[in-house]
Amino acid sequence: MKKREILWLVSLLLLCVRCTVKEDYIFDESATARIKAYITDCGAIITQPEHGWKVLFEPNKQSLGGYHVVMKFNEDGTVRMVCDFLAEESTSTYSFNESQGAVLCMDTYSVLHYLSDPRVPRAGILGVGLEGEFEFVIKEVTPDSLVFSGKKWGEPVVFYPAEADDWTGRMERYREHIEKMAPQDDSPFFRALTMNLTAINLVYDPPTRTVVYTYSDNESEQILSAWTRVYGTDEGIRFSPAIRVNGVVLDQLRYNRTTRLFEVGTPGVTGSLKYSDTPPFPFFNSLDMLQARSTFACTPRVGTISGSMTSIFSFLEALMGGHSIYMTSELQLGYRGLLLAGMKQFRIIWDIDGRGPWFTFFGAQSAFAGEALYSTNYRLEMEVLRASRDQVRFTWTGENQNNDTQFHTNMTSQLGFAAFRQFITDPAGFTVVPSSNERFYLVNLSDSKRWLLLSKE
Amino acid sequence: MKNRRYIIIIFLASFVLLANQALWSSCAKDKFEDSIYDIVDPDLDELALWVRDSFVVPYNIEVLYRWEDMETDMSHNLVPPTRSYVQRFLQMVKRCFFDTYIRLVGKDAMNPVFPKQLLLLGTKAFSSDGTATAGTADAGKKIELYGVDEYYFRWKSHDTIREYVHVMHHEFTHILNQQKAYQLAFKKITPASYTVSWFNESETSALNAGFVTPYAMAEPDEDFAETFSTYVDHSETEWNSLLSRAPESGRNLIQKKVEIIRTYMDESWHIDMDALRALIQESIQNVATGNN
Repeated sequence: MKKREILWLVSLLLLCVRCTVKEDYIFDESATARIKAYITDCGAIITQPEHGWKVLFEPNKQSLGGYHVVMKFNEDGTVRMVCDFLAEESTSTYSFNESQGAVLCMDTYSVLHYLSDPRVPRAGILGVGLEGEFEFVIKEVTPDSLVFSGKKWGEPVVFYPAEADDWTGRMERYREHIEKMAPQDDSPFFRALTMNLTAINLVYDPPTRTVVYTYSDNESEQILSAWTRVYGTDEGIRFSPAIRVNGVVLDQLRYNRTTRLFEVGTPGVTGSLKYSDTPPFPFFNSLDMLQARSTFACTPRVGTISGSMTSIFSFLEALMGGHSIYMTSELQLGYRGLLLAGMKQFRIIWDIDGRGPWFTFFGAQSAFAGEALYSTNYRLEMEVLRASRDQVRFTWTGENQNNDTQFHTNMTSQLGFAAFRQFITDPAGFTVVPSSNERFYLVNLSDSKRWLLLSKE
Repeated sequence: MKNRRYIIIIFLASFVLLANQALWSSCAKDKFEDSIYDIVDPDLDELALWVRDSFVVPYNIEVLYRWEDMETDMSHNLVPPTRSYVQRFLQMVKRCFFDTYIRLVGKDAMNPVFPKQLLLLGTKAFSSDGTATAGTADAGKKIELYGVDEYYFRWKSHDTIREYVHVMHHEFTHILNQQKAYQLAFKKITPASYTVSWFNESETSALNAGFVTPYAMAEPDEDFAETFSTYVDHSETEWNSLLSRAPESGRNLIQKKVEIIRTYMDESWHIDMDALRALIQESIQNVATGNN
């Protein structure tokens, strides 16, 4: 190789060398810097409105109603809240993080967390609460609205600027109206909602803010049940979807402070919501509807929970593997006795066969039904009380089948067992009230506050 | 000869090239922008200052009481604790957990093995099988304590305090075991009685089989932690009462386990179980009477 060729080669190499690599950035700043700036902007906007933001949470439109919250974000990282599901006001803290884009997080417990709290009892579901959110993925932030999606459940949530009245008058009215919907311990079972000439029976579930209503359908000549969500409003409550019965459509009730009644607020429809000890209409053939589901295994829910039952109730609920138990005070001792005897589970199962209903008292040292150890079946005679076939009376036959004599003996010595036997064989009898295809109430004819809910598992 | 000259030329060319690159690259100016990390000192409120002075400074332990989802167990529905309940809970943790070990073994010995992070959660972690988790230990460094809000309303109850004390010592035992393994002989005491469906067991069946609690039947590591924490959170009288409810066979098995644990704690960590128990009992009593 000639000297000249070598020099060319070296020169070429020198020419190819560049001092620095030039990169063209699409954005002026790094992703981290941009999200930081975005969060700073969001922080400025959410603290802006004088009266904060109001929001209607609808955690799950398939099974829950609506819950109102108003919140004021402060520049020091605290957030003040009031809501229509708890009476107290809370001040907690909030922060932003970057886990799924920019996320607004209420990072210490507030009234909002009540909706996510796994301790909040919900029939049949343990440890889920009311499917609330306290982390919100930011979709759009403007002075007019904050658009989020809940981080855990993914439901859209929109905050709007609040007014002064949202904090006091309006929120108190929402809460008052929602509370008025909740039955009291001494409320009769039946709650008739008259709509012109039609009456329906309405059962409201306070934690989930939902209503199941039962009515006699003119077209099919059957007893039908339907479900709707409940929302507190300035005037009373709102149903969504609207209640539709025999051509009448009703989407709201107004609370009348003078009469202390919810009254129908839909134009062209008159009526009101009233408690009653007697059924508002015959639940035609409801007994046959119940019996059509032969071998109908149920969890007992007898009566309502008294205040003193709260702690034992949560304890039992945890033990029952997610099945809520509601019981009258006379059953408490029995349950306690069985638990002390080593039972981890105790159920009463309704079972109809060709010879009539059986109540199975079922005990297990396991938390699961599939691992039942002991059971005793007691057969009842059933007498239909009227032609509409919706009222019955039970008689204890004494006939039983058991797989463990000791369990049978223990069972029959329990106060709870005696109380249940007395309850179910009350000579007054029961009205069979369908609440859905899966749930039937047996409501005592002489005292409607004493009832048994049969719910299909 | 000619080849040698080529080699020298190539060597020189390479040298020139490298020197050239070094010279040119050093003349470019690097532009340093603001850090992408948040390096501004946070404003600490009263609670944060108390936590810093009570946990960060003396023990080098971070306490997370504000929700950070990446730190939590995603499979459960959980909520953060109520801010105003945190301090009372942490006072109990400090008194009945950290201070007992410090008083017994000393700060220098314990600080390196203490968990480096405490995560507080408002409620217990409920599972669909009806069980509720009260605490977990991760990677030898972190303890998650559940149910802070429930503690607030029951803090005067000796049993309540003991329940939480039990969880902390249980989880800490896992951390100790993760750093120094215990004797395999422990796993051979009741090898056939461990069960995944421990929650179906009663206290009686556990004691019969040689376990202090049903949860101890889950697996040997849990058995070790349960036996240790039950021993130290019970007074001597309460412990003897527990053992008296077990048949002789079960009692012997539990005592064998206790002896292995006693040796492990003494030889590995210089922890005298009986002295620790006395300190814990004293602390529980002090907390229950509000003598913090």
